[in-house]
Amino acid sequence: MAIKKLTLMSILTAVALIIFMVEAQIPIPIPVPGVKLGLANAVILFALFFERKETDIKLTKVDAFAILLCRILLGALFTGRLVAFAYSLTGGLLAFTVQVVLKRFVTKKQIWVCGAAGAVFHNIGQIAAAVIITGTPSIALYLPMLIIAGIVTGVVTGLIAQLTLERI
Amino acid sequence: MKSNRFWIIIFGAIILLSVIAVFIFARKQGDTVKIYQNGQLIHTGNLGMVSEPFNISVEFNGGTNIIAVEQGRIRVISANCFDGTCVRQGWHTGGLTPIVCLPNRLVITVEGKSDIDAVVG
Repeated sequence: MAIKKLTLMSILTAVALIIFMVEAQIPIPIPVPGVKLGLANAVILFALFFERKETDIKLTKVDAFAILLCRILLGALFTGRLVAFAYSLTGGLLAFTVQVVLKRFVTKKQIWVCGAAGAVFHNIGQIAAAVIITGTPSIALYLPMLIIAGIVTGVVTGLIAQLTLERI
Repeated sequence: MKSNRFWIIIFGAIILLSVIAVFIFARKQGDTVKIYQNGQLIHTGNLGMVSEPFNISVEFNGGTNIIAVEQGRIRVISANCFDGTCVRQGWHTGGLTPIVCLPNRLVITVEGKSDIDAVVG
């Protein structure tokens, strides 16, 4: 059991990391600080909602959290963007918490709701970190734009996780 | 469990409110430019008084941003950070949202029109 689970978690971490690395190379045409696709969150959502009755593999919240932490840490190291680490971590932790809470209120066909809420709160966490680190409150005025972007990208990443889970 | 319609209405309402906020924030024009680095005000000036365009170079922890100043407007023309968001933000003539370079902790705001008129008058 332990080996199967460890393998699955390793694969998911690797997939999330690859998605994160590739995405980091794609320039975003919208000139708003903090806007990104956030596709790596699809893997975290996949881990959170993954459930297989016929095998004995079961991922808990803690397992999904471990995947997220490894992804953020290794992602910062591999891209060399250590300055972005604090923003990434704050956003990631807030998004994860919101998604875990929201999981109780949605069905398997509503993972996109988790994705959208997660992305919005990721952006809120990121902006909060930016305001604290730079000591400039006016950055928070980007929040409305980041909320719109978060809902759009979050629905897409959520749907990716949802449709993948439906097909395996 | 809530229906899909419930969630769509919730997110739709949030998007609508955000769009309204974006338009409200973008409307203001200004002249007073303030350049902050790591929360500290490092440059300030009146964009209306600029006769010759000039550049300012700002450094932070090995990162450099070059800021171009012209009459009534300001922008970042080059940055050695990885995302270049500040460069793509283009010219600013006002509005509440600042130009931001998070990696170099640089924030440029353009605000306040009324006190400038007093000086001219």
